[in-house]
Amino acid sequence: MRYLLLGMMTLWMFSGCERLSMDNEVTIYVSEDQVFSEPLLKAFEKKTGIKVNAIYDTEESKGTGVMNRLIAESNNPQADLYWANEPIRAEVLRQKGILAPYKSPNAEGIPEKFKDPKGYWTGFSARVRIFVVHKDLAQKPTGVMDYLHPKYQGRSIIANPLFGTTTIHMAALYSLLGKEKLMEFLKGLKENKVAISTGNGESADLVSKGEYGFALVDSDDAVVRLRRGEVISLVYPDQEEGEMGALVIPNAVMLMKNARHPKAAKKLIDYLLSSKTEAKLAQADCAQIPLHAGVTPPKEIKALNEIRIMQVDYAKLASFMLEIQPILRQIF
Amino acid sequence: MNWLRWWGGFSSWAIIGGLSLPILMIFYDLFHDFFTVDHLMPMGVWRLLLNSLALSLGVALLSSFFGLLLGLLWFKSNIALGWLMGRIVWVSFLIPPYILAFSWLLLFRQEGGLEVLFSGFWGTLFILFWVYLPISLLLIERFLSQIDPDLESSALLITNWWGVLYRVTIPLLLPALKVSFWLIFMLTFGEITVANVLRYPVFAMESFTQFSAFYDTQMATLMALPIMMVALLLQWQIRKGLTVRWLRWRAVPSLSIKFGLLTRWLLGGFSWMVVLLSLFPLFNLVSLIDVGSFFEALDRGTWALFLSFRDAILGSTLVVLWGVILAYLFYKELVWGANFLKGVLLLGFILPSSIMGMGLILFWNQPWSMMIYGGFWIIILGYLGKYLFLGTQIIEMGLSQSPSSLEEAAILSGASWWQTLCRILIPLHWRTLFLAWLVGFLFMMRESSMTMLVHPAGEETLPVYILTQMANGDPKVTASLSLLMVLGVIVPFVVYLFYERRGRSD
Repeated sequence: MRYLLLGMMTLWMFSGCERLSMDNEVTIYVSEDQVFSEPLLKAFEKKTGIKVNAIYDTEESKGTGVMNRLIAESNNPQADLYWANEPIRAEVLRQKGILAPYKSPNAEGIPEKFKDPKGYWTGFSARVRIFVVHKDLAQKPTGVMDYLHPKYQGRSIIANPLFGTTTIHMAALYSLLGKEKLMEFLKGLKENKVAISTGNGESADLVSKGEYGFALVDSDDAVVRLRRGEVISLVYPDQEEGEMGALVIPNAVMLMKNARHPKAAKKLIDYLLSSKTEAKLAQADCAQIPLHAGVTPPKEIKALNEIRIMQVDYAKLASFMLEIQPILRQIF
Repeated sequence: MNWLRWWGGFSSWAIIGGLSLPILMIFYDLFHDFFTVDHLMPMGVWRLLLNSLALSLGVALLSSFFGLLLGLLWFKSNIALGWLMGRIVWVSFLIPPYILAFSWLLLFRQEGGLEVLFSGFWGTLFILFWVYLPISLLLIERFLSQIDPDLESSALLITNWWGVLYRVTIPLLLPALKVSFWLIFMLTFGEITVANVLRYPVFAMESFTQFSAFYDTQMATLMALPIMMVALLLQWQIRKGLTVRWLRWRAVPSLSIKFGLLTRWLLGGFSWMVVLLSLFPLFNLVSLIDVGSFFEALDRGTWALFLSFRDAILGSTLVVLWGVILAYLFYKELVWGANFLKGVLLLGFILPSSIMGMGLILFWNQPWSMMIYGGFWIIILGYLGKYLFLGTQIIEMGLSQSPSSLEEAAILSGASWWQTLCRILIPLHWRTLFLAWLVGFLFMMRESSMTMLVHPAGEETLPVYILTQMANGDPKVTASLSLLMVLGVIVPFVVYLFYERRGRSD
């Protein structure tokens, strides 16, 4: 019993000291996939000597674990900054008053629509919502409304609109089309027997295997599979004149209010917003589109200025997402 | 005994109260300024409740029935290597259900049209049956080993084994079946990952959606209330009849059913088919793996595996240490309000893990408690809050089987209650304590939903690490990490049991 107590006391001391004694460190919560974000954070650590304590999100929680944690910890923040894989969460956190403004010098050159005007969050390295299409599909879809076309009945798939970037996409459609048309679209998905998957990755896998003809996914899900040599091609939706365009979803980085290590956090924000980081994320398997002009995009994906972009206000999408949830839950 | 009553009451309330503060905080938050009955009636919710009840009932019945059948075959007959089969089926409990569901789905997709059969209710039932079958088997094994062989020997004088099983053994196993049914029912009721993958709408999803889509912990807690009410009702029903003394306490070898050669081969073949079927998802994972990816997983996942072991060993040891004290106090009826305290412990067990995690953050994330919140002790506290109920229940059930004559003799000889506990009850019940430890250890090894919400940076356990790697990670590495998880738990147990059995036969 004595040894057990002694052992437990030792473990206790080790566990506490580790986190209290280091000044030259920064804690970041990350919703971007660990396989893509971790190498960058390690590179920052190596470059600056600042220790990065990172907590990553999981697929099981649909990427909302750290977001909920940030909200719950807001009275005594543990994170110094947050790297979200889309800007809506940033907006929710801003509205809850748990972010601090910071305008990084490296944010110069990033288009204004991808930044909060007061500097509460800044977008970088974006994904685009894109169709993955199986090579054998004779007629490729051209727009999101093709999901409702009878010729594709039972041949298409989409990730569960209740979660992730598909919810953002539905909120974007809501902002452009209004409630009635969104309802029609969602009911149409059911009527046209569009399959529902648990996530974009699964949708892309099923298209790649030929189970379905096409799916609307994030560009990183598509490029990962393209690079594996899977038989899919990419189609940018709604690119004709007068059409709504493709939804672009940037990453977003933000400083937490009352961060414990604000200097180190700002350095890391600067690092993430730099052109070099965007170039690295473009060349990695996540193949993200740089928002800085002049940075080479991934070879499989068009540059930002070559895509007809859906015109949305990310700040408004955050509240639209809450408004459409009851509709989504009613239908799915 | 009066001071003992005071001390017992105080310490029980202190332990359970301390562990439950995060839960109480969550409920205070809910009822303080939020709760209205209208909130409980959103559309479609009651249909989901029925779905969940049907699924939980199906899984609990199926797992308990097959647990009994296979338990009798593997642990009470002369079928070769039954003990080994009983360990191998733990594989499906140890693979995170999310990965297990995908693995089975992949398998059925390869078989073309079978996917339709596999999705929805039947697919979810099928997978959860495999996930929870080991729990039923473990309980049956433990209770079988304590049935007094004299009862069966006497019955064998007037009837055959069928009669003995029907009239003696199975009736004596009823409490184990009840516990198995209740436990599996509750675990299924709170499970969402498998149902989500296979698109079967369940009630627990409501709580998860509130949490993940709206970031609304209050509403998520509210949506968990019906789950908790069902659990409390069921617990109240199931507990009736569990305290009857029916087990032996002497260490006498159990009677074994002797099958003839042909029957033995046939049943052995059937058993190995069941085992192979339980291993299909693992085979599927292994088929993805190559040597390079396995070594990469070994390199990246070993630390996380070590952390999983550290947390699970520490957590389950504390569960047993506190469980012994609490169970003894409950069993001796030394605590005022024992049923209320048990209810609080049960609440911790059935509360959805994500809400438990939020409670831990809200309570422990304070400047004065960073020694706990900033380190792995927050994970241990979460494990204790969640699994102390299981440990206490198992130990109390074991203690209730002791003949009181032993304790009375000890007290008459001048032994204190502490000496009675340490010198008589604990040595007498070490197998029960080991069972409580093992159950706690296995549950803690696979826990991810709460751990991922509270773990400090660099303290990811292996299940959490696997789930973070699943998002666009190399499927080969993810599969290798899952294999590492299974091997990390199964291999030490098989080796331990092998030596234990060899030691006994020597």
